[in-house]
Amino acid sequence: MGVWSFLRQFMYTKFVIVLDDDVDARNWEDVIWAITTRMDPARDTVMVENTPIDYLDFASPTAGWGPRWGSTPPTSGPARPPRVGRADRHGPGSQGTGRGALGRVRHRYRATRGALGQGARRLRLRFDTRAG
Amino acid sequence: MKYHDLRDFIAALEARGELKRVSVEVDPYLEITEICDRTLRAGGPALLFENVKGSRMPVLGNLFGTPQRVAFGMGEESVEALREVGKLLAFLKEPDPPKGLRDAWDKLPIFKQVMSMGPKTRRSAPCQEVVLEGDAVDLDQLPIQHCWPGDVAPLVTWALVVTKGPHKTRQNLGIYRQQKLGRNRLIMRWLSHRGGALDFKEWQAAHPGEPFPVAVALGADPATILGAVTPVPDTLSEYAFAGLLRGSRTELVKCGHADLEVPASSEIVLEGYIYPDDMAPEGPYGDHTGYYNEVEQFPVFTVERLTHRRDPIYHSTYTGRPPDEPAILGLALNEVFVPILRKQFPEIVDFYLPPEGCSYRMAVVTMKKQYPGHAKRV
Repeated sequence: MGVWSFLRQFMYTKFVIVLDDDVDARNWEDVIWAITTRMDPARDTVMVENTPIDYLDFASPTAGWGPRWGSTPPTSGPARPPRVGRADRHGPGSQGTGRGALGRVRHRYRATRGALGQGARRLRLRFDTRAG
Repeated sequence: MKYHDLRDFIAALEARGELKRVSVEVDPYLEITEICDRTLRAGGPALLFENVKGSRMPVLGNLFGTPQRVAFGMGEESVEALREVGKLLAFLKEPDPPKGLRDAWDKLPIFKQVMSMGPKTRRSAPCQEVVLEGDAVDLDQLPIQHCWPGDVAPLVTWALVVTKGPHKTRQNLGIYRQQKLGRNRLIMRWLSHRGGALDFKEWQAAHPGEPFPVAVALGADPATILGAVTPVPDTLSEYAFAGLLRGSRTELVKCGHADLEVPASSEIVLEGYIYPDDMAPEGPYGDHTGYYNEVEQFPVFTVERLTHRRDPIYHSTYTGRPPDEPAILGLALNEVFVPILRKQFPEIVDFYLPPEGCSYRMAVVTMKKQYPGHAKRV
């Protein structure tokens, strides 16, 4: 909560991973190892719903967090945007403006939500779990 | 080392082998992006393209392509030293009450430094050596980069946009990308929560139907550029923060059209207005997430006066899937954030915004856990 509220720009942070201090936060190998060995997803994940920033996320042209979290594949909508640079990138297929885009993202959001069995607009992973 | 203007910085980087001149002709259509992208990924130098197709102006690219160069730009020698900048910001955000007289005395220099860093306004300035007005304004003369194949048009990227709300004395400095529409028209793409957009909205409410004055500086000194991308406390202007970084006041000059001030040493300055109801569809453009944006309506900035230094240098960048220059800036600014967060939460050991997560979408925090559930508070 602190990280989110403290500096304005961290409002855009949709994943916060908290680890013990023996883990090197800047080393993915360390981070993934700690997540997979110390975390119980059901117990240690905190989801925060309906935070106002999600609407800004839609309003911003980087629309659509939904498909990027988890395993929901990018939908191949009719107006999937072309990709920047390398050809192997996957993008959320939202294009167009206003309600249309929002609706699409919401739709995909619901799909993701169903797939996860969790209602959440944001995911926070918490690793609180080192013995003791 | 502190840099008075962009040219000082270029000379210092060149002396350190951190800047290379490219004398063969390059095309601002895609080619500059390709060369800068390759150079950035290799940890290479800043690039000064001296022979750009279609323009007489050189293009400066990949300026902050390594965290080390960001540190240089902030007047520090190493990335680690950026934590000192963070400590200063943390202190300014929430000063500790002095613990006794001796401590108060020790803190005096910081306050003195802060108080003396208000910007200074000059009567004349290098950025106004050449003045073009009205029909003489021609953005086609600038080597504006067309970054990606799917981009709709050339894009002004490293633009420091100066605005002032009707009820404020403080000028806002923000970086907003600008699509070129024509000889004197750019689309000002500020998202609704950003400083420039808020100033504009307040202006519209206070002065309905009147044009909103805007100034855009390209190629300011590195401290001012970095001041514009650093989240400084609301009580401090970006210009004052730049003065702190530089160790000398930011020198400004008044624009010709309004009560706005731009950095005196800027390479190029665009002055003009956003006229009421002048909107245009912006994009698509490839952005820092690695995707093309949707097309959205944004206000149009009409350039009525263009001033520049003699032999101006056009400062540019591109945004794309990380790593790009903004991601490198994010890595360097990460060091600035750590002391600010640790001041609030001393139990935090490290804080990291991976560039792969677009530099802000994911945060990894390590902490000394002191009680069950402690992590949730942080």
